[in-house]
Amino acid sequence: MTEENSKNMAVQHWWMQRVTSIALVPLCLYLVYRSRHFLPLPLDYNSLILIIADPFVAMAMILTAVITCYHACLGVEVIIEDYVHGGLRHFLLLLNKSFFLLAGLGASAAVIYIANVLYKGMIE
Amino acid sequence: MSINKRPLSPHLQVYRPQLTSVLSILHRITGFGLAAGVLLALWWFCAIIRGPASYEIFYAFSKNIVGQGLLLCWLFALAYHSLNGVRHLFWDAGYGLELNTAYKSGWAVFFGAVIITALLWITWWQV
Repeated sequence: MTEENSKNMAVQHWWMQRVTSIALVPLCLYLVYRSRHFLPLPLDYNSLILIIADPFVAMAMILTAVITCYHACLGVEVIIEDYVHGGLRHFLLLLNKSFFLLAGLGASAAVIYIANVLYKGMIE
Repeated sequence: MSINKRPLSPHLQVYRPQLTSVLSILHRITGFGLAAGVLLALWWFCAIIRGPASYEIFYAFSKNIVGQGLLLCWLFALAYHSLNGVRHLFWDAGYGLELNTAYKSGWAVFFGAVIITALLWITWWQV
């Protein structure tokens, strides 16, 4: 890796941390506000599906899931880089990216599934 | 990459904790805790998708003392990490970097997080 490329990557990291943070502020505020309907968790399974199927909640959940997983990936990456120096380092860095990639995709897929399949199954 | 086994001079054992350093490491700890909470959120989605029976199991976990304790800790982590994150963003823009301002904003962030956690817990999130 050239020196210029490594500098560019560092700046990219720095900017993505800030951009994801700023994007997460309104998303988190909105979800915490809507959480008054689904926290504490309702005993009624159907009411939970109704709330997640609301288009604004579903969109906010998907956006939050993807952006949070990216933000968390960047954060955990610097933690691993700071504290792990031996043989586990490369493995943990790979594991970190893989986990948050799958988590972001999985959570988005889950919300889409709940808002479509489970919701349609419920209203029949 | 060879591991350096030479001794380090003492640092954590001798430096007096300051508000700035304690809040900084708390920002990292809460960030890591929030990232770990992603795992529980994934379990929540799995429980919903697999049907009412699985959801019952998750619901029971959320109601017992361990689940409630984790939720309370996660809520404080969210409040603190968000407020301190905003403080970081102000620093990135160049504001509030003087020491006395940093101390005032630091206390504001910490007590703000405690208050937000208490308010949300009592009004919406508790049993």
